[in-house]
Amino acid sequence: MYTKYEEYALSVMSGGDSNPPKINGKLNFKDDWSQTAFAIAINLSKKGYFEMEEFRQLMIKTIRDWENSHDLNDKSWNYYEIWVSVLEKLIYEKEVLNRSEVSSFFKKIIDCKSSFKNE
Amino acid sequence: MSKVFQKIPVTVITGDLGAGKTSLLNNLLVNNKGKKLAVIVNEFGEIGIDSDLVIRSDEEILEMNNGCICCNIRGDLVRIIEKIIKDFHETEQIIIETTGLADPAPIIQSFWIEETLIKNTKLDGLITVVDSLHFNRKKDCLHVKKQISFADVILLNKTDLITFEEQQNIEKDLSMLNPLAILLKTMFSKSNENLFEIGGFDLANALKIDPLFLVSSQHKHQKNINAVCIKNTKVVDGDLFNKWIYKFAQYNGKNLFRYKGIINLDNEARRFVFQGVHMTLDGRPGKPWEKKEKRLNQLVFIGKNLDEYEIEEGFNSCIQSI
Repeated sequence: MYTKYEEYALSVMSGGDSNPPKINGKLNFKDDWSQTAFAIAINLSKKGYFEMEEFRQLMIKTIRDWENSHDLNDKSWNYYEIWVSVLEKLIYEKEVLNRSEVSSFFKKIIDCKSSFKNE
Repeated sequence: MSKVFQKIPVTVITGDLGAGKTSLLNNLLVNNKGKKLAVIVNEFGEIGIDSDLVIRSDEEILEMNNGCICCNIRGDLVRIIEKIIKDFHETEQIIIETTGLADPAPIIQSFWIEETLIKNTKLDGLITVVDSLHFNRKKDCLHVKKQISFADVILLNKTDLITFEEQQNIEKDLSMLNPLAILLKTMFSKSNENLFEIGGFDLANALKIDPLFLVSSQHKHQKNINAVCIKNTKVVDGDLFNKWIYKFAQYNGKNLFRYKGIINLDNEARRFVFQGVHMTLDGRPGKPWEKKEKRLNQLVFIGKNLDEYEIEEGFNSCIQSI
């Protein structure tokens, strides 16, 4: 039984093909932006904007699309890049933010990503 | 990457011997709207009988002859369902017809405990067929009471064989034993309702518990089987509730048949939904509350000799202090 939404959401995402990267059973974030994106998605779902199962299904589909268009050894693979694209899609679809708000919102995450890449 | 798959819904049919379970199964097979069905027919004894009565069809019928489904053969149930998944991968619906002696609890629990079943199937509902002609003679048998107490849908069958007054009395008895179940009156187990989409165990889409029984009477009794209902609009503390419900289920599990609740936990955006069978408990955040919706706590406990005072006190101890 999950009384905490965060625990429930993690249990949903840990089911098979959408399983987030973990080390020794603990979530593994290589950088802050991926952790932020993870937290935003869980919190939006907690607030009722979308179901975690919807998020999971979209993750599976997007991962599959990526695999179909890339070599499986492609080093550009990043689970949280997929996560952010799914989050962006759902934020549009569910009208969590309007178009200009979405642009500025994701720009912040992208800027955050760039700063990490430059380090 | 494996394909995205839908979990196979499972319908369990139970009821006393001769109540009309096989007739119901036949009706479901005939009116299945093109669904690919797999049927598990469980027999008590070495020689299967009921599957001979089932109208032959394209559906796969698998028989379990090792004994009553509720006893020691949960492993067999898992193996048969694994076989269905492997050999009949187009199956869209599984129906389990239990022997007339089966206690439904272990069957329900199997779908919450066994990993294969959790991963591949979803329990949709438990239908109990009640023989209205012999109900008064059988109603004190524990297995009959249990089958009724666990049901999502009760088919009150053979209503053509009793008077209207007798029917009303039986309906009253049934609603006391199980105020949660939908009651359908049938002859020859024939119903026009869609019995494949009951959603009796679907926490994800549970919005409310039928408010009718909650307002009609707070406490319902029939001899030693009773239902305790709680309804209020208080905010429940998640940590306190978690501790209380586990402890309550642990101490009273044997006598708790089935329980369900929708509650306002910590004033979160989503309602919290839970259900249990004996000590086996399942719960999760459910659908969000609507903006103007009254956040109503609704809990129902059905079981044997349940102490309504203890349950109310226990639940009230989980209310958030203002």
